[in-house]
Amino acid sequence: MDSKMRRSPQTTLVLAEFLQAEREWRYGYDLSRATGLKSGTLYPILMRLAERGMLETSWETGAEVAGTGRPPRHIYKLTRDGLRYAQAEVAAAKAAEKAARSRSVRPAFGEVTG
Amino acid sequence: MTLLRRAAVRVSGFVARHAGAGSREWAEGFAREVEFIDGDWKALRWAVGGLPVLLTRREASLDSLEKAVSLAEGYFEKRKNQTEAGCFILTPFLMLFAFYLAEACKPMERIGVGIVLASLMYAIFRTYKSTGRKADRSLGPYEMAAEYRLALQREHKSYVSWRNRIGSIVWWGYAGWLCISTYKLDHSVWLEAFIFGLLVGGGLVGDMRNRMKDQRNLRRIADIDALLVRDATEGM
Repeated sequence: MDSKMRRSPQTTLVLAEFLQAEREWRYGYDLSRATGLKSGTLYPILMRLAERGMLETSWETGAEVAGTGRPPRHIYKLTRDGLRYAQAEVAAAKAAEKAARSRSVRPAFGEVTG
Repeated sequence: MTLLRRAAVRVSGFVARHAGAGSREWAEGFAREVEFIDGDWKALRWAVGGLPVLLTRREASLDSLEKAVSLAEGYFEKRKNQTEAGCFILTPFLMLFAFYLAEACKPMERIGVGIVLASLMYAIFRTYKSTGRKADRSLGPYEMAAEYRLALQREHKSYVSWRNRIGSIVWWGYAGWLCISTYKLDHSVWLEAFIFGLLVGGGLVGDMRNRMKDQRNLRRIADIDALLVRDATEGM
């Protein structure tokens, strides 16, 4: 697996969204709605994840769409590698956020408090 | 189906049809989603948002000399057809400006039309000379890839030349002005502005298209370089 995946807040958002339902197949539009990302931002991220073997893609099968009268949709799910990567990335992002928050409340050097 | 929804379906269908081979499946999946979006505006925004991403997505890089040769053959064939089409399109313009030259009364007008006419003839000559060559089928894969690289390099040089870029926009602007002044459309400023804008806009859109093409050419040159080096070192 290529570890040089560009880390961006948007990628972390997408990965975190996948972690909400690790084992489920997700739709592009649903991911966009859940993350608030536009299609022009979401799809490059999904494509990069798939290129690096972190995302599995498929089409809905006949059984899933049978009787609904709608065409099959493209669906996405994290692979095992992707899952590990997502967990690590989301944890790192949370830790970074926590550190940033604690830095912002800590008084600066020489600052008089109380 | 509303007009907006129909536009969204059309745009997403266009993306699916014109996406590169590497992203076709994604583009189809992306287009399919339009049918599941509730609002018409949302559907249109979705379709338009994905347009630049999926159409300009980098194609899979070249990984073999055979692939480069196949691309080279396609390239030379396409260029040959484009040259013929280009000459076919430019010829009526040539005749139109020859007619203007015969009709022009003022010396300045004659000089202006003469410049456009000369530049048109030069454009036809350059187009034919630089791109009208056929690929030499007797070449081996290495030589063919090298020939292809040279053609791409030549295209890049032509693109980065500021004379070509500025020149084409100025030329379209001048042609627009000439059309306006010849047809004496003084009574409608809006129509004049529209024609002028259309021609200058055409030049700018053409320049943008060439910019995207140039970026793809540069990537392909780098890919071919890597292949040629790999082929040369493997033969040692």
